[in-house]
Amino acid sequence: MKESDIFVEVECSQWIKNGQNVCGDAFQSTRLQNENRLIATLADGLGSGVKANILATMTATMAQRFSAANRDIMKFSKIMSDSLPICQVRKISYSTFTIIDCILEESARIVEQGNPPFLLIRNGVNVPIRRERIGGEDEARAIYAASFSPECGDRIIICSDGVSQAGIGSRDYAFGWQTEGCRDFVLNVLKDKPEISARELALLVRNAAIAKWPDRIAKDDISCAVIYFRRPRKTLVLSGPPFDQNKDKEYAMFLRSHRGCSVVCGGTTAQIVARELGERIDIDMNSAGNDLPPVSRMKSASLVTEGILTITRAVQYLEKMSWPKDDPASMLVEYLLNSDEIRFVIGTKVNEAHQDPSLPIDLEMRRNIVKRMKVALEKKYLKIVDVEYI
Amino acid sequence: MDKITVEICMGTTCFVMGGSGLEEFVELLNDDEKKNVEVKPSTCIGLCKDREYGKAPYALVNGEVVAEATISSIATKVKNCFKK
Repeated sequence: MKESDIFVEVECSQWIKNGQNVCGDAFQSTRLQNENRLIATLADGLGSGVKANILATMTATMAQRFSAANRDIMKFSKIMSDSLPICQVRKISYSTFTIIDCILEESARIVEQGNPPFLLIRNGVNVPIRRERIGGEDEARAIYAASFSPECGDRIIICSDGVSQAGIGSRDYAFGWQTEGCRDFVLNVLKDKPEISARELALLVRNAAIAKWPDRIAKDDISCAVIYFRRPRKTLVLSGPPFDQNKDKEYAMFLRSHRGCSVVCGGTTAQIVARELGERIDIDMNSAGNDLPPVSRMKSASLVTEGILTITRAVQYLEKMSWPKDDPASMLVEYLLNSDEIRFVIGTKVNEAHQDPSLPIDLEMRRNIVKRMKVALEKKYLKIVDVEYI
Repeated sequence: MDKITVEICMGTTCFVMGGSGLEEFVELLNDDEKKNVEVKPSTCIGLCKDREYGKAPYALVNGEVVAEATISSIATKVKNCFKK
């Protein structure tokens, strides 16, 4: 597996036990870019509520840091367990955990204590991986480890016992949903949606677990994390005419040679691209909304929008982390967020008409607004963003 | 009755100067006129860069520029074209 060929999407979806304010499970993930490595931990603290949350968060935080520092699991699991505050009611301290330590081109190692066993889904089937007991004083605290080489398309699914025991004691699920129930559910989902994102799959599992409880009243915290090894989704965004008209052809050809999703922001930009590629632009009048001009369709682009107004609005949505459905700026936001790597190619020719002081609103400079968009996408959404000017 | 083409600029300048909704000029036409009008929304026509055409928003009625276009000014222009 080559670094550039694989993107690892990591998402966790949680639901809080009925009557509590915080989740007693904690999930953390870290990318160590220099080592081409990803570490993720799901911990489930004893009990529920704030107490469980503290146990789980401490455990996950320690596990992440000890793993990143390459400390021996047996040593640090003892340190973790000794460090946790002791429950006044139960006189014990305890938090289960699952740690995934993955070096992207090479291997994945999964260490588990107490959580339901992880699932590895490859080519639509569950692949059993041998788990070796590496320690633990008794069965309740047994620590298991498993290793394998991740392949493109693999998904690792880890859950707290709130998933496997969902509905326990109820008429329909006397013994809970069980790991097998969750596994079959995931396999069925993947049959219909083999490309489903980690985010969506984690959410579906969580929702299915909630639904196992009578009246959807969950009696435990529910967490499902999905780690999905896949080809990176790359999006190209062209906006603004090139400074030098002689570069129009080169600019348009970016669109032709790009593999993946492509967006054109700007009417003049769209005309340049359409002219150079010999394509036509069709405006979709039904798509206008929220005071934004409508989007258009073009053969070589996944989406064509107006330029500065739409980009400015999209930046506002990204910064607020909230947007309405189906206006042109929301459509742009959805394309960007469904990507892992986004490349902006920004034409630097200034539109003189936009500088007219009699315009009723200030139009932001394209370069400035794209800079703001890059910051929002990188900081808030962890996207890989590249901006170049032409 | 010859068919009349009305292009409405949806470029940024025209849009912020009140170009959104100009396509509703058809509501001011009678049924016969409505049948013989083709409305084509367009990306920036490029007139805003050049002062000689007046101010945005712009529409083109059978290729003739309507500057500072409004629903009624486009409808009037279209009706005049039918009379020719």
